[in-house]
Amino acid sequence: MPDDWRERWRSWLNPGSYAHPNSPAGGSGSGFSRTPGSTGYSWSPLPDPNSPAGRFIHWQTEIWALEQRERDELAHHVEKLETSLAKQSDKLRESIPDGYLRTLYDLQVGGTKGTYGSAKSLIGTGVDAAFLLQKLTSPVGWLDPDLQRKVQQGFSFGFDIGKAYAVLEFGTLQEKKQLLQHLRTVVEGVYEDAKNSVQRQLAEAKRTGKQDELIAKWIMRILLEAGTVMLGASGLKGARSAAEGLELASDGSRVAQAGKGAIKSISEESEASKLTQFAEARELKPPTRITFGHGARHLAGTGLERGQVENAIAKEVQATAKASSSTGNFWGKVVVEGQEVYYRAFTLSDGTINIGTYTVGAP
Amino acid sequence: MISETRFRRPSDAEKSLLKRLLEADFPARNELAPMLDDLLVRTIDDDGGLELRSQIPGTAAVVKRIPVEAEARDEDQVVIHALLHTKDGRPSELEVFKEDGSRVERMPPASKFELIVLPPAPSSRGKLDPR
Repeated sequence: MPDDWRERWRSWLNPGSYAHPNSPAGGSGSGFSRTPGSTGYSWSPLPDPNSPAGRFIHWQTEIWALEQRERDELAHHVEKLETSLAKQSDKLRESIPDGYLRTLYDLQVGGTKGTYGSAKSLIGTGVDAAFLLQKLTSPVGWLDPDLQRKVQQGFSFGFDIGKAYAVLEFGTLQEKKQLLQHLRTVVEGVYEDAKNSVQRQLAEAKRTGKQDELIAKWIMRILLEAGTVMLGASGLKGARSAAEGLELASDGSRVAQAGKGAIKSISEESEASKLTQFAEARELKPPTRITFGHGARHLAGTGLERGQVENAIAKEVQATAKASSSTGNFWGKVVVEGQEVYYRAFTLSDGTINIGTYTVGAP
Repeated sequence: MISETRFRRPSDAEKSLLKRLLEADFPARNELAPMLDDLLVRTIDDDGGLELRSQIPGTAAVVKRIPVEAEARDEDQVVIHALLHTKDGRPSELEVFKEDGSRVERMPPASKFELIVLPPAPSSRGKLDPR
């Protein structure tokens, strides 16, 4: 940004470091060319380099310290964005009517939560803002792709992706803060819309007796996403045999086509086995079904939310199940926001793992 | 869900189960016994789980949140667990659940419950029981 107060101290020899404008490495280079008076830069937290106070400052150290403070403040805003996203995601999850679907959702959100986390590293690193938005709203896309598409096309987004990129890369602290706030507001709205959309789709499916079909469609979308994210293009090759007549290639658009075809196939034939076949063909073992008892009431007064705790438990139990030939009854512990949550798991004859109860702190 | 809003005196079956739990030997049992003898309860779920409100003041020096528990089989042979929870040294909940998450069909008599006093939870994941 042209009015960045740091520009005044930036070294012409090494733009990544700072120097007094009158020094050989500072200002415009050897010699001093700035005219006296205001430079027009925005408010600066450091004294004027020509002022008496300015002569006794170690510029490099001071500016680094101020930048660190800015980064910390920004990190706080990113954290707020992440917390808000997690809450919205939990609410969307609660609107999902099927336990198996919720488990898939948990798995996938667990995978994309790293993306939320990576928002921290976005600040100043110039990661593609469009990619970030795509990731933040991908859970919405599983349940309502039209809504996600609308968001990505910017109809309801209210700001230009290119501008967002520039702000994240070069913006001032204030501009970055505003962008994050705006992003938060927009994503919250999108998740709210998605929740309403789930209710609408469900009501319509109930009316037409196509509830199972709708759930199968959602499951397929999530599995497709899992394939794209977890396996990459090579892992999708096996889908050829399951999704008849589909041509898979390494690019995302073909993958999307493959998914569409497979969904159609399932929808037409109404065979649940197709879904399993499809998943197995893509080397994706369907996740273990996980159910929860009434442990959530033990969260009262802990500040923890049911969604985040059960997501964490489900994720760990899935990992346990995946790594074990049989699970039986077992207990485990997860740490959520620094608090230990102990759970008891019971494996049922159909492979479902029921989390009978859980407590915060050792039982 | 059957959930009561008001506290009441426990039924005979509920009293029997609480008394049965006290037959086990566990730390602070003697302090908890009078608290469980005079208490009000409130049903909080379909399984017969209870929120407990002792009428006796004081706290028991329990070393675990769940000092004692018990299990018995339901009519469908699925194991029912009954856990006595404490909070700040006072009885707070009698949690009842079945291993498969289904509703309790018929609560077995208290005498059918096998008592369990578990050691403190280890610090990492492990087997729950060798059954």
